[in-house]
Amino acid sequence: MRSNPLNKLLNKPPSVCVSHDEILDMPEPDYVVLPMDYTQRELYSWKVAIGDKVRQNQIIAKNSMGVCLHTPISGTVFDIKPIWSEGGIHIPAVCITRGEGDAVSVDEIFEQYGVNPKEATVDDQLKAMGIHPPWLPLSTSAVSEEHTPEAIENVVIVGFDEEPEINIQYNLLAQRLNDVLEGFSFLKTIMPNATQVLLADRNFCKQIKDQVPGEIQLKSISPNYSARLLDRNIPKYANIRFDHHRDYALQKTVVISIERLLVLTAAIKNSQPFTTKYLTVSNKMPSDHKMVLIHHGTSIRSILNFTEFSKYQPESIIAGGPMKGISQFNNLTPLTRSCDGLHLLGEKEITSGPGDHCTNCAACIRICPLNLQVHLIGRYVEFENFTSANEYHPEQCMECGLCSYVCPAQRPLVQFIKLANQYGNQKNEHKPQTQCSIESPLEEWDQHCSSSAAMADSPAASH
Amino acid sequence: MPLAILLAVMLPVGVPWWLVVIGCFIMIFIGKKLFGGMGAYPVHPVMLTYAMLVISWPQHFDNTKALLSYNWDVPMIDVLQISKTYGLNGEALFSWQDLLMGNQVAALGNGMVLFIIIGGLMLILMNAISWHIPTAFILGVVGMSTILQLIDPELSASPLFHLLSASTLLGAFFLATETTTSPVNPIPMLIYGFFGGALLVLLRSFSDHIDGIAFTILIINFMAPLLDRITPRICGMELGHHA
Repeated sequence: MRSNPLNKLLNKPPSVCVSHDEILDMPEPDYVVLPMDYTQRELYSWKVAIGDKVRQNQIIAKNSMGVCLHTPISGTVFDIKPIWSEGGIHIPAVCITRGEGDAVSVDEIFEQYGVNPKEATVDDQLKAMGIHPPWLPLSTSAVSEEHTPEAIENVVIVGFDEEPEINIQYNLLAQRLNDVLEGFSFLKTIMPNATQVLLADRNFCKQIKDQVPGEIQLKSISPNYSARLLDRNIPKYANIRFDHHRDYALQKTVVISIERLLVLTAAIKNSQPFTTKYLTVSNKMPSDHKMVLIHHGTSIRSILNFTEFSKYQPESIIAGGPMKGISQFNNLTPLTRSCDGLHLLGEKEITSGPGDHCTNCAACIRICPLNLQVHLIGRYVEFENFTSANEYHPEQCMECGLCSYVCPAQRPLVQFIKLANQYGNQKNEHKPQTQCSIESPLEEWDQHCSSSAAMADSPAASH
Repeated sequence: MPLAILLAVMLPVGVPWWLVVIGCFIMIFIGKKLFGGMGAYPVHPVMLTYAMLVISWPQHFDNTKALLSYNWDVPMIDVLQISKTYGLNGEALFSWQDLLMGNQVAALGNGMVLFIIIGGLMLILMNAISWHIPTAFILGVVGMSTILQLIDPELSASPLFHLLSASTLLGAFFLATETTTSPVNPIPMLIYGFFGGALLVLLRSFSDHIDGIAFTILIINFMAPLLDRITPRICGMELGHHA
């Protein structure tokens, strides 16, 4: 069979379906590095300077929407320098080394945020705890008074992980079902007009069917990867006509994961800032995985050392899962809230080189969830004909990575499509929404430092 | 797909060795490398070779003559030659079981219908080819031969005979589905296959050549890039924001 290992990976249920992983709690790291681009759309501007003493949960940065960023550990601001974030963006980051100090109290957080805790609205509470309210659009300019929790019509809670090899949501659902159901009833009080949908793995649905109350629509998802692609499948489950390129909030829909639901509930009920993240660390050969709870800004190297995955001596580290993830150029990159997992590849699993010639075999077209003419875009880009490539709408691509995965010639098709978008959009009127709005923080940065040395070179990272 | 094996399967028994050498030269250098090699040739190299050889040395491509010294339980004349000359009367000489089991005068391998079917189904099950082209090709053969039989039952063979004789199923499963030269989208694949099947029956019935498979495949290969302009709708474009 042509793509035997692929079929195995794509069709097999998440590896955790057989057992519930123990969640390892990682101790505070020696230092954290907090990039100022958490959502990769909005930049944060920092409120601290080099040498400042900071205490755990203190607000150190804020974005234009007012969403705060807290330091997960107490200590000293060691440096502020640009680094390569896990999303492949060169961005200023605050490095904090661990020191003495108690956690900041809730009242102090609200004081720093600038709102009296007794008068705070739900929006204020979430923003002060470092969470973007899911009913607000992602870009500041699109926010209007219409965007209130009452206006939301659909709430979709995603109880599975999109990527193979990652199993955070599954484990949380299995181990903290009561908290999840509590979160559902809490969401009902915030968003009374919304229908609630819980998406869960097919096997898992049978187990929890009796425990889930009737008003929550429980939908089962087949365990293969293309059925789990969120962009494509959310409209089907939520029964709405949908444009996956537009903001969900503009379409009166909230889509959050189980983990985010728990964080959101904890932030409002217990006033707990969002500073930790669940992570699945997996290795391809030999197959192995562990689940760990980290503090934001922990470097990949300390995570690998803690989970003992450094024994595999990975050749390539992919942040975000095997399909959509991005390969990291060194193991000092800090991981933050947008990263769900680390996938390690050995020397044998990495394919290198530009790949073979396209033989028109149509494997990419059969698997593409969006029906793009992937092979043609790839061929046009290969010969640098970007105008023709853009006639086939490469901007619709959601970079799920299936085409590259199935390609028998091992062509870098996703990269071809990215190139088509990059060079083709100069003529197109439509600009992709993912463009980073670079504002004042970078100008400020230029005065501080002219070198673009990565955090990897700094003494803080090497101890 | 392995080009050399396909060429070997298409050649008659007892073909001179220099013909094979010339055929391989045409296939590799003219059919494949001159156009840019792997993934770049516009027509199936094997079909191009076969067509050139048939036109250049027709005397070596007579299956009846090649199998003159053999004697099986079936009429030792090329099945298509009989059907061309005698129509339905000629067809009565063969039972469909014989045709299915390969008891027919044909080239080296294209008459082994049963094994071709097994191989083709394996290709589909292994996801190496999609079902569209073979299905449409077979439908095209059946449809066109039914029409011809309705028009002139005396001189036209039945759909089953067309399906089981000579290279029909080899073409449907192995030749028309060559990835580089066939369309990639579902609807174009169906049109391509159906047109190929219909054209094959027409060439068999009305052309001077005994088997028109080479010319059929060449002609539909040229249609493929144009047909591929019929693309499926891109998901997420329905709201018209990006059109």
